[in-house]
Amino acid sequence: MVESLQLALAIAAKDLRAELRSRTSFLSAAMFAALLLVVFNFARDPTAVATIDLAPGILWVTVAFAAVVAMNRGFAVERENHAFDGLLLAPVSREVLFLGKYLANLTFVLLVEVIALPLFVLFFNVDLSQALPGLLVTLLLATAGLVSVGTLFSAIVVRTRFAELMLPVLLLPFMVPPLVFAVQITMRLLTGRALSEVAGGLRLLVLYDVAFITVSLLLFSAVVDE
Amino acid sequence: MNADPIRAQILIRRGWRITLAALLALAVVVVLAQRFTPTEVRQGLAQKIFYIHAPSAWCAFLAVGLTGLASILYLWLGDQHFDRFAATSAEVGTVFCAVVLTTGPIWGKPIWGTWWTWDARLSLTLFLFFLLLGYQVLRSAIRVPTERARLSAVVGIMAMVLVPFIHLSVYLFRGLHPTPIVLKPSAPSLDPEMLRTLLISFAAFTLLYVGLVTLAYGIRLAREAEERGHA
Amino acid sequence: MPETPSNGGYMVAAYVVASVIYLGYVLVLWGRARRANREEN
Repeated sequence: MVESLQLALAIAAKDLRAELRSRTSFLSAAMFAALLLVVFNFARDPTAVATIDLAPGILWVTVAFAAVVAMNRGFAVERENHAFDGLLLAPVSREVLFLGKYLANLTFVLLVEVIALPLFVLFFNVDLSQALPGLLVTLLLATAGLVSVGTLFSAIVVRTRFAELMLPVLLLPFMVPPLVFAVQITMRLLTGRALSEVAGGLRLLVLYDVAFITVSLLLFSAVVDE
Repeated sequence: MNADPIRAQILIRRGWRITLAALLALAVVVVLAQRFTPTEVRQGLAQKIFYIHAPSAWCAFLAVGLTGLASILYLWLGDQHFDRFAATSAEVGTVFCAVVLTTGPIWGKPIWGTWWTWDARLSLTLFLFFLLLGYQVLRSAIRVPTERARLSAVVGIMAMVLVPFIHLSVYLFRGLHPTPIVLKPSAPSLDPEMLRTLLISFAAFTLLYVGLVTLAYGIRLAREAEERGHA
Repeated sequence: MPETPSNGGYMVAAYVVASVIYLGYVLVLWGRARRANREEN
């Protein structure tokens, strides 16, 4: 059990190291998130609609799109290097392999969010003094779920011709429930409600995570094995 | 393997027969709905759209459910027939979804006052429509049949897991955005004649689903046998 | 007793749209079946 975890972490570390060495995809994803926030800012009329009404939605749409862009990473690289095929030949259990890729993706997307969140606070004048812990938990939970589906679907679309287009097409419907739950929670947090009021939404996020991390894990071997 | 083209032709002929019978039954339903069913007093003639809309929704959900089931069976048993059926049911399901998504707003506008209301059934159908399209787009992007079958089965199963969460999301969303209610819509008062027409319509549309799937499956089988013959 | 609204136009539109979609698909299948047959013969 511990060995498997260590193995998964090793796979994740290798994946991330290769990624961060080039830094291209990370910078692209982070810039994309920043640009989205800027565009959203100009797309609204602050005198007509209160920021607080739009802010949660804007934050989570940005997170969702940045996550998709982030998970699109490395398709070209993987295909060129056949790195993934090499991993498949190794006597590694498919579940461990999934876990490794999942952790790498999760770390990557969370790093992008770390960039996006301060920008969000800056552009939209959001007061996070009370809401920060709750918001961080929500970000973690929502991202954990999104990335599990994204990791599975990445493995599916990498064999198709238009992988970068196919991933969002398949992934976006799966992103809607965590987005809806997260927006609801964020709305409550930003308007200063007690943590007990967001318990329901958090429970839904956890439910989504448990369901999809499990199913993605189980289906991964069907995807990568002939 | 040689039996396939023959089986395909049998299925195609049977599919045509069932489909034409269903279309005839639907013509009867239209006449029934128009001439022999009372008009709902508060909603007016537009309420009669329900006799097309609701059974189509049922068939759409049936199609999606069977695609999901076939996906599971394919991954479990590896039988090509399940994959072929899943693909066929997905295509037919898309057609039914399209009807639900067009007749819904056309019904909604005079009854609810707006074209779209994020009503539970309509929203779920919209998501199923996107999932079905994604499923078929994925299939079109994979050449190798076994790989195509395997990967689309995985997506099919994921879609099944997603459905209850969509339902939860819509429910949650609607809690925040109450729908504008001009007239009280939903199922018509159970006038016996209305119920009769509705039930016959359900039967006719289900028959249409069976006919279309049989026909489309047979065509798909014929095409595959044809391609193998030329390979 | 509220007056029954006259919205028959919507009903006709819906029935027509549904028919077009269903019959359209049947036509598509017919075309495919014909092509499959022709290739075989």
